[in-house]
Amino acid sequence: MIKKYFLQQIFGIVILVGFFTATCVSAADLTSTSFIVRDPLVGTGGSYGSSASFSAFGSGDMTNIGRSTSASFEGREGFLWFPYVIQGVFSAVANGSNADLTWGASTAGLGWDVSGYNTGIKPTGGSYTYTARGLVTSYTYTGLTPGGYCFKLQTLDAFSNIIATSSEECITIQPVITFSISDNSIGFGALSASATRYATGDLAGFATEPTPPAHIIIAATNAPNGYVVTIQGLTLTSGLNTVSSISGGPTGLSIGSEQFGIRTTATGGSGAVTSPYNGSAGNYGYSTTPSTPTNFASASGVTTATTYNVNYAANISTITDSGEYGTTLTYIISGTF
Amino acid sequence: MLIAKKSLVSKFTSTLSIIALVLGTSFAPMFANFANAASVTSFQVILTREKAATVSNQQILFTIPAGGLASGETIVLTYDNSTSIPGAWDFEDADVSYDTTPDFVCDTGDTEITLAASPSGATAGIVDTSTTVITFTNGTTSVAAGSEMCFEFGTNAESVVTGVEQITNGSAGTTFLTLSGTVGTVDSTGQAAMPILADDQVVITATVNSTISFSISDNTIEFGTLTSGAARWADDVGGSVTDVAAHTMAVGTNATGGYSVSYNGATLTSGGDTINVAAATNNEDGTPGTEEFGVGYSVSGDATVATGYDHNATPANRDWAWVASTTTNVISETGPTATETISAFYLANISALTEAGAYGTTVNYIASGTF
Repeated sequence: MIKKYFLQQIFGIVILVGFFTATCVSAADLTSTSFIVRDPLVGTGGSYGSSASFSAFGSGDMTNIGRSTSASFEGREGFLWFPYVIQGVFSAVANGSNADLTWGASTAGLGWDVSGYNTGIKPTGGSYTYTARGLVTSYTYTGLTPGGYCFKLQTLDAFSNIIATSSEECITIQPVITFSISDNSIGFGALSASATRYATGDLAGFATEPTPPAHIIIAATNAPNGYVVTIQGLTLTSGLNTVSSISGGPTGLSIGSEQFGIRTTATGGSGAVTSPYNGSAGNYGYSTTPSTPTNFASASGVTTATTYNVNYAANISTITDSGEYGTTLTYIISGTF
Repeated sequence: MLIAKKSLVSKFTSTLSIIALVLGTSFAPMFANFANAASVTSFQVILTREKAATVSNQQILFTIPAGGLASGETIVLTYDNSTSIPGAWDFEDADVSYDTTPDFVCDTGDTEITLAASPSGATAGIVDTSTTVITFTNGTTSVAAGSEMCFEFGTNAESVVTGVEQITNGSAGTTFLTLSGTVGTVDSTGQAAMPILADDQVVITATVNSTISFSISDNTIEFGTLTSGAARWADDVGGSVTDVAAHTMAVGTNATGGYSVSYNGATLTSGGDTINVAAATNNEDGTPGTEEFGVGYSVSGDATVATGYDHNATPANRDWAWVASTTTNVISETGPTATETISAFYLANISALTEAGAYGTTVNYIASGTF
């Protein structure tokens, strides 16, 4: 009885050994210098794929790394598929109210093609907002208000899938306010009781509103609440004599009557001229309180450069006292950060 | 017993964990805030001049964030770009105020904070700790969060005494004013920028040329035949027995000092014979039968007729005079004037003994402006 039991056990062991031995023989490991695939399943192709360093019997029909396609199918053959992407160096540099982002082109392969990039911006305390930029290697965020910002770069594949995201680059945008006056000395030349005179940069004056204007003022800021430009200055004065200004307005010019006024137009940015300096063609204005600063122009938020074209007109009467007249106007800008 | 102890320890540990989790969740943001400064808002610096290296008054406004301004807290204002606070600058050159309703204006609705060199009670201290740093140390005044604070530096500081010392702008470019200190729940910060220009002014010039116009309506007038029985007046049609203007003169100028008109001429002369000059006042026609040659003027504007030449609306009050061969001012105006018309009336009387002959004279009129 005992002998029979042992025989049965030995038979079983032999059967099992035989079974495992047979399996190991029919499914050989696939190896190269850097990997090993144990016991691969037998494929349906009945052929083999190979490279310089391995052979995969029965794993398919691929002989090269890549994918097989036809009009109706695409074959990506198992472990042979290893897409990759490498991002270039990504940097962010503060430039006034701008953030200049630059990056090296991402490289990808084995199934991934780089189709473009997203740039992401995150203000301090906020979260990232990504925007597609296309297949470029730089982008500039403009008009940023003062504060801290971080940026990331995402690389996109042919299907606009994100295949890589850079580490974040952080910068600080400082307050920016720019202001310039193109000409600090302008003149009317000789005023006339029979024709309006306009100031020009060559001091000689002109008979019609000049183009370019007497001078321009350019203002820009990244202040969240914009800026205000003020003007302060008396009317044309010669000793105790004055040429009466247009107090208020804007109003039309009147030849033969004393008038001194300003008309300004604005282009670019979001700045706007304040009344009474914003008259339409032929309409000029001037402060009712010229000895104190009054608003000349303003912007309510961050703005790129606004160019203010400033023209000055003067009329006199026949009894306007003769003499050399002049005035000094002070333009001041202040941002609200 | 050991199992019971382990159970108690386990429960205690779990409870601690829950408490820690709750506390951590609830107060983590607060602790995080302690680690980060808050920014003042609506930070504004207004200068009276933005020209480089030029003294300027300053008005600084900002809104205080959470926590407000509490007793003893400091606000430090630091300039860059070579901005220079004069050594003599002190608390009298500053005003500090606050307004619980921000309006971007310093003096309207604001409550002034009394200042001294150092804080004491409700009095705050303000000093320039260097040529670029001003430090404000609050007294016991409490200013609510959301209030607008205003600093005025320079001659615009007029709360107690008018300031004298002004801060000098830095170089052309951008000046940053950085706010720091201990104000607020968390230490507030802020930064504002000011443009500094090579020149922030526009000088405008103009010339008003001197003008004066003068014309005489008729250069030849005549009395006709004089008689000793009645006065005659000159005109351009043979003379008149009534008082008429012989000619007019028009004068206009933009001379600041106005103009004057003078005449110069001999009396009526015929060879060696002359007619005496007149000097009659308040007289309609002089003295017929007596030699007289005179002139009177009326004006349309506000020019002044010289004494002795007034030809007014009342005949009996008219004056007649002539100064022979002497330049004599007869009309004057003190300022610029549009064209004024001067009417000239010439009177002649003769006596029975006046020599016969053809008499005449030439009168030169000169108008001159006082520019």
